[in-house]
Formats: sequence, C-alpha cells, structure tokens
Amino acid sequence: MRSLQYLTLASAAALAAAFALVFAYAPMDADQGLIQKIFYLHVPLAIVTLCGFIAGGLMGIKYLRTGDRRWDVRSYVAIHISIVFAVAVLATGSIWARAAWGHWWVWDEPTLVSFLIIFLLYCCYQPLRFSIEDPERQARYAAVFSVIAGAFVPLNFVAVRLAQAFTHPRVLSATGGNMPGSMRLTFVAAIGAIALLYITLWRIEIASKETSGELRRLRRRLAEAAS
Amino acid sequence: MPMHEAIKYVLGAYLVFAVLLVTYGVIMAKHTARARKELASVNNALHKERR
Repeated sequence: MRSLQYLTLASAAALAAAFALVFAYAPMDADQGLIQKIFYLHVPLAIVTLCGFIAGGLMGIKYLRTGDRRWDVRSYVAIHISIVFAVAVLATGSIWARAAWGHWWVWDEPTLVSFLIIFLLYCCYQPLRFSIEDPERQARYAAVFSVIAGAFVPLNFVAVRLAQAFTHPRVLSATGGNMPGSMRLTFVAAIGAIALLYITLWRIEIASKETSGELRRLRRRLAEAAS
Repeated sequence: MPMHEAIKYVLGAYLVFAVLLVTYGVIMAKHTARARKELASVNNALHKERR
C-alpha cells in the first residue's frame, strides 16, 4: 500500500515536471507555434497506449501458459487503461488536427484511421469478455482476444509506416523527427511521465481488483460457515 | 494561427486529458469506498459470528 502511495506521488511529480518542461523549457515550434505543445501530450499518450495493448497481449500469453488467474486480471486491467488512454489520444489528436489542418478528422490519413481501427477493435474486448458467464471460459477467450489483437498492433504500426503518408508527421524515424535537443528531452520526459502514470493506474486498479476478489472470497466463506 | 486562438486549442487538449484522469480517479475512489463499506460489513458479520 505504501509503495502505491510513493508511486502515485512519483507519477504526479513526473507529470508536473514534464508539463513544466513543455511550457517553460521546450522552444516554440517555428512552423506550428504554440499548438505544437499538444504533441508532448498526444504522442506519448499514443505510444504508451499501444505499448499497453501489447503488454495486455503478453499477459494474456502468460495466462494461457500458466492458467494463473492473476495474469488474466493483469491483462484485463492493462487493456482497460489503454482504452481510457486511447480516448485521450483520439480527443487530443482531433483538437490538434483541427488547429493544424483545419479538420477534426482526416479519413485518408493511414496513421489516424489505423489508430481508430485498433481502438474500435479493443472496444469489443469488454463486451466479449462480459458476455461469457463461466469465469474460466471468460478468461480464456479474453486472453486469446488480447493475444491476437496485441499482435495486430505492431503489424498495423509497420503497415502504416510502409504506406505513403500525406499529412501526419513521423516522430519515430531514423532522424528522430528532426527534433532539437531541448524538444527531444521534453518529449522523452513526457513519455516517461505518461508511462509512469500508466503503471501507477495499472497498479492501483490491480490492487482494487485484488481487494474486491478477496472480499468476495471472505463473503463466500462467511456464508458457508453460517449455513 | 494567432496566439489567443492557439491557446484555446492547447488548453482544450490538456483539459481533456485532465478531465479523463479526474473521471478515472473518481470512479476508482467510488470502487475503493464500496470495497471499504463491504469490508466493514464483513468485519461486522465476523464479530457477530464469533459472539
């Protein structure tokens, strides 16, 4: 419990430091001006979201190999938080697109559409999971879904990079997106802070789920003892 | 884009993130409160059982 408190404090401090770097240290972009500051929120969120989906798949594999229900819960929570982050990615991306390109959404841009496809794919995860009553089957089907969808994420990323992009800029390139040192440092700090936030939320939700599970078991035992 | 226009977009993006984070925090706090309540009732039931 104490480690969770420290982790929460650390992620709050990291977020505050990253945002301070964004607005006080990183130089104003010559082309986009102030609106480029959205980049330090939107791109780290997108990277962490996709990594979270992949992590969910890896935890799904772990569940399928061991049959340990804790891995199923971990996978479920990783995907759940990634979906919340994905909503933030889509919202911040749309705001940035409106400011930079004059449109809330561009349908012929592979990066945007592919992210939307991944988001919609994962939106099916929870309905699929909770449509199965038997807990064993539920966990197994959810794990299989998380593995297949998790494998789709990097495949999709590569496919998009091979496609001819029109408007969306490339950040993860051999030239590092041509960012000057101060921008790169701010970007790395923002990724670190968002990743730490993700881990913190994941740990908090896992702790909450474990407590609920423990309580259910206690109630069952009490009911058995009473009867 | 003029500065006063750009500020609205940047503020909007960061606010969306903050609102999502706060909403998530409120939902988690509600879960925790419910778990605490349940724990108290289980504790009560245990005490009664022992008596």
